[in-house]
Amino acid sequence: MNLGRSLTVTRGAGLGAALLAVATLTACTAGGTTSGKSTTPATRDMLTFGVDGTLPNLDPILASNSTVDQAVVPVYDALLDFSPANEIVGRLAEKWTVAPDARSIAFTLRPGVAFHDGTPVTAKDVAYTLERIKKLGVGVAESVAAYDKTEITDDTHFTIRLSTPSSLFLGALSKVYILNSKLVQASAGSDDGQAWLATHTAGSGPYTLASYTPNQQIKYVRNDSYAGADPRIAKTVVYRLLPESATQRDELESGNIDVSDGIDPIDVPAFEKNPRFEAVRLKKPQGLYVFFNTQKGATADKRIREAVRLAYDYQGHAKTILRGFGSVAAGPLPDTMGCRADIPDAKQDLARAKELVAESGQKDLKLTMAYQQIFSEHAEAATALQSALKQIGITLELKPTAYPNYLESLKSVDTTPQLALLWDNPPTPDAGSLLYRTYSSKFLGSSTNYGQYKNAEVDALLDKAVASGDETARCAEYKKVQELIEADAATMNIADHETVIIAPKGVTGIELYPAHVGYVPQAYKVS
Amino acid sequence: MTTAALLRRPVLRLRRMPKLDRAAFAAVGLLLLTVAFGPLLAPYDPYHVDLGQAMLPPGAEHWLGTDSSGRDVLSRVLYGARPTILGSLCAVGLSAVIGVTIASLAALGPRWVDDAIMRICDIALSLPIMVMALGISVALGPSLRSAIIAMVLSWWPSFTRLARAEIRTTMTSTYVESAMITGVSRWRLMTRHVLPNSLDSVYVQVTLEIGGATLIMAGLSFIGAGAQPPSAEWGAMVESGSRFLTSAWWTAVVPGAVITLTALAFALAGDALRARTSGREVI
Amino acid sequence: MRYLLRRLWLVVLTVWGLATLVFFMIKAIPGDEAQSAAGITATPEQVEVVRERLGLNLPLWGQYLAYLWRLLHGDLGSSIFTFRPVTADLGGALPATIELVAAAVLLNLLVGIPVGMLAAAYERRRPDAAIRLGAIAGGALPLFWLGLILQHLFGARLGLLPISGTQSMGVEVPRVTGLATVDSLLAGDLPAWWDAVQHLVLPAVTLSVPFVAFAVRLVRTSMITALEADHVVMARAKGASPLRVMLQHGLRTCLGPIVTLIGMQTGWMIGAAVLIEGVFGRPGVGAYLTEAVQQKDTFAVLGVVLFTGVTVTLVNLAVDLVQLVSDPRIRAAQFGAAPLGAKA
Repeated sequence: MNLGRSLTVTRGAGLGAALLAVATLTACTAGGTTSGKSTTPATRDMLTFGVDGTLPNLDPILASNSTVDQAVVPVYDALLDFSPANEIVGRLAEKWTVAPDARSIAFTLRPGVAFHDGTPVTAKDVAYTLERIKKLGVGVAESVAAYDKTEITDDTHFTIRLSTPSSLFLGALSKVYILNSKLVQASAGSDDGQAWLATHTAGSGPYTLASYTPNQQIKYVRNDSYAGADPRIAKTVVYRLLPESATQRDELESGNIDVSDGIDPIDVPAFEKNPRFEAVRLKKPQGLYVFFNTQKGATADKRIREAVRLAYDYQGHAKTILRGFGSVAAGPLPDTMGCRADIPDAKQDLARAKELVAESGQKDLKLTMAYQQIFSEHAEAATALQSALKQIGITLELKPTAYPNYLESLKSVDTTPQLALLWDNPPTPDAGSLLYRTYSSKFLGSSTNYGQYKNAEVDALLDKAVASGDETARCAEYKKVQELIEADAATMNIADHETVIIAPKGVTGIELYPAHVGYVPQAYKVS
Repeated sequence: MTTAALLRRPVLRLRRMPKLDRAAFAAVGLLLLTVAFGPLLAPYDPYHVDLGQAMLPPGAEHWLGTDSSGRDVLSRVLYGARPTILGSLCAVGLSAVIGVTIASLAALGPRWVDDAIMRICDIALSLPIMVMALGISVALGPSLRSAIIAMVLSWWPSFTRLARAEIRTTMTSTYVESAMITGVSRWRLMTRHVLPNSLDSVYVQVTLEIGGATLIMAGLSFIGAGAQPPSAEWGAMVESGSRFLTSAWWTAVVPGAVITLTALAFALAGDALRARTSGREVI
Repeated sequence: MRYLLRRLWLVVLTVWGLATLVFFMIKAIPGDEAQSAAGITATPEQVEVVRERLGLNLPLWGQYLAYLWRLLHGDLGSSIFTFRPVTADLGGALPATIELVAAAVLLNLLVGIPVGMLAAAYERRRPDAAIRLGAIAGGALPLFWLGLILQHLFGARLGLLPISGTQSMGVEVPRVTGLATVDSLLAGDLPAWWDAVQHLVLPAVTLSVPFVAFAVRLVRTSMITALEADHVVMARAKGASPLRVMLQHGLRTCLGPIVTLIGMQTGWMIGAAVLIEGVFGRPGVGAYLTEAVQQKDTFAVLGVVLFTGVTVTLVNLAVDLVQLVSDPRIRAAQFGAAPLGAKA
């Protein structure tokens, strides 16, 4: 599509000479090319997104993983979603009513919506999707654990019943992507379609999957029969896997990708100055934390936890490691969430930290921290913390840990790392969605209570809030929970993240969708 | 053969050496000194993170600048000589010891032992070190130790082959044959007569391979299968600096250049040694 | 014939040894093997089904036999991330690596042989010394670093060559072989071919540097030896031009070592590709392996390990066979050591 230029060489020379051209290297190619495309910003049919990390399994049950969520969000619809203003808005659902006891929700589906193969979306598909999640018990299952059953009234009317009252359930449905039950059942083996859905889709979303090459790229084509189709969105969307941020930068500059959210902050100013691009700065529903093993070893001592928290240079982290694209954390919730308690920014105080270590009576303390060395922010924060702790007499050993292994280690208090550096993304913008799964003792030994945290008062408050239908009361309880957690120094909250999306000039609609950490390509309007 | 014996040979007589070889030996000496005393020379703590001092360009304060965490690059390069060069030395040295031991066993034992050992060599040699190391890093977790283990696992067979060939040549020399006739035990024959006369080429090979081993060690750390943060291993330094080629080139260019010079020095020194010991010309 | 049978038997033995090695590597990995095989999404029941299917409830020797049995059927297990059989993933990743290694071997021959001959022609004179030093220096360059710097200079700074990937966005040709350079030719799409070639230049040059360095020295030495041979000295004395002598007599003698060299370098290159593919964003076996290691995708990693070992073994076999057919002296000689080392 772009290369007209260098043909003179090839045409005249034929294979042999052209191979020689390879041999004599750049000399020959020098005249020919820049891979830059001079696309005009006005209209474009295709948007190519640089994607950091693996292009993964496409089974939407795994949408609790942000990489999977990003890959399935163009293809599937959930019943509802959160708007950029943190409000719940309908997608497949037209209307919903939560019962006052928070034990059931009555839904009405938008009429006339169909899956990509033309089958209409019905209550049966919703029921199938939720039953499948309950049965498999993985991925998003944790956040819809309260699900009991679906009572189908007719094709567009149904009621979801919960086994326990849950105010979190409705929001959690934003990650329950509705499957075409007929298609999945027809293609599934004995595994409820897990293998099939890993590389195929069965959705009703604004894009259809055109091709999928694991670990290389995913290509989507606009679904023009989508109800409420927006003609302003790109006809073709491509996700291209480019794990190195430097590569994303260079490819963006030369026009081989159009959009990137993985540009190293240090390179952002250059794009801000470049008239071809727009740099949109958004808050990201993500924070960086250190979770302590609150039950076992030296970190069970609150004074040690507090000392570690006081040793770190938070300002330096926000300014140097994040290069200003993020802010010092204030409390256990990222700043994209609602109902945040009024907790001051984390601060460094080495003198107090030393005192606390002395008070604890620990000498020559050695701690171990798990971290994911493949992420540069992790590696930099880990070494910075190690260096900081040395100043208060604590030796920190760094243990590179693959994420699946980390999750496995959480199964028992004994294997849970003393410290673990972790990015955490709230499942939904609802404060309870993060607090409940991370700090309720109900989730001890599961893969979400990272600190094996247990506090009876917190438990009681969380149970009460989650079961409550009263939004104001709930919010007050969540705030109290945050204060208690903070008083326990349960977690070291490092920073809230911002993301910069670099996109071609003229593309609009780039906003934060607080339930999604990655791209939401159907929001990008190209004309 | 003792070191003293090695020194008495014409190998290291400097005066008759070409300039280039002299420079190479000097560089190797310098590198070994850095391994030994580098940490004493380092002007700063190579692990001290100061986020306020990040990415300072080379200047009077920091001769080679600072990295993205505000650590002094010069100090890190000086400290990094240990994991990089000493790690490579360990890997090659261990490989040589294991390789020669196994070769002696092959020579002492019956025919089938020799055969079996050669087959095991075939297997180990069919795995490129990078691939072997990544396999091992999954099994043992990534670390400098895993990297060394992987290097030894895929390196010893080449020493076994070399030593085996040399031992065979020595065994057929008149001197050894006459010793055999006088009824010296096989063990004594091996340790007293055969091995000391067979190892010259192994020493040369060790020197030659250290350069290559440095490259592999750095490569393993670069892809994350070797030394881990905050290690100042040179390959790991290149990796963490690679993101900043546009904004702070020195963080990646300096350690890479040091790796190149190290590999070059050892390669040249090894070549010179080989030319001198074997009298043969080098390929 | 006896030699051939013995050689094939050795290949079988080596492959079996590799398989055993990988089996013990799997055993050395901490954690529940059935869980890793069933994947992160598996329910406890599914894990049990997998345990049964893989024979992990058997004693160790039973597990070993079950493992060998699966290997015989080409079953390397499934990747826990792509959910696909490792063999399928490898099949997808292989073309990019083959393309890269083939291009590097080609460069190696195109540069290595003439430069080596040049050095031999000027034996012990200035150009020879310069080439020798250049070759040593080339062998001392860390590939990953060289790749980063070339990519930065020629790709990002000067914009002369593409930075990463195998094709530009929007350039598409029907996938037949998976090799972008070949598929575009098959489709008769010259611009696409040129695009693919450009994407190949930087990684192939990077990968070939240390190997060219090695080839130059090898060609030089064997050429010098060849030129000292009696019949060559004779031909020279009869007044044949030096170039003619080199091409006619020298090169023929060099062919043997060169074939061996290509064989052993293929193994090294697959190893080195691990370093290069990540840097240049080429979706090959090396990139797949690195990714799998980071995700702790056990079966993918060990699948690649086994696959690489078998490939190197087969390439060595092929080299030996070519030698056998082409060189009567080797045919006569006893089978000696395989090419030294599959390193890097």
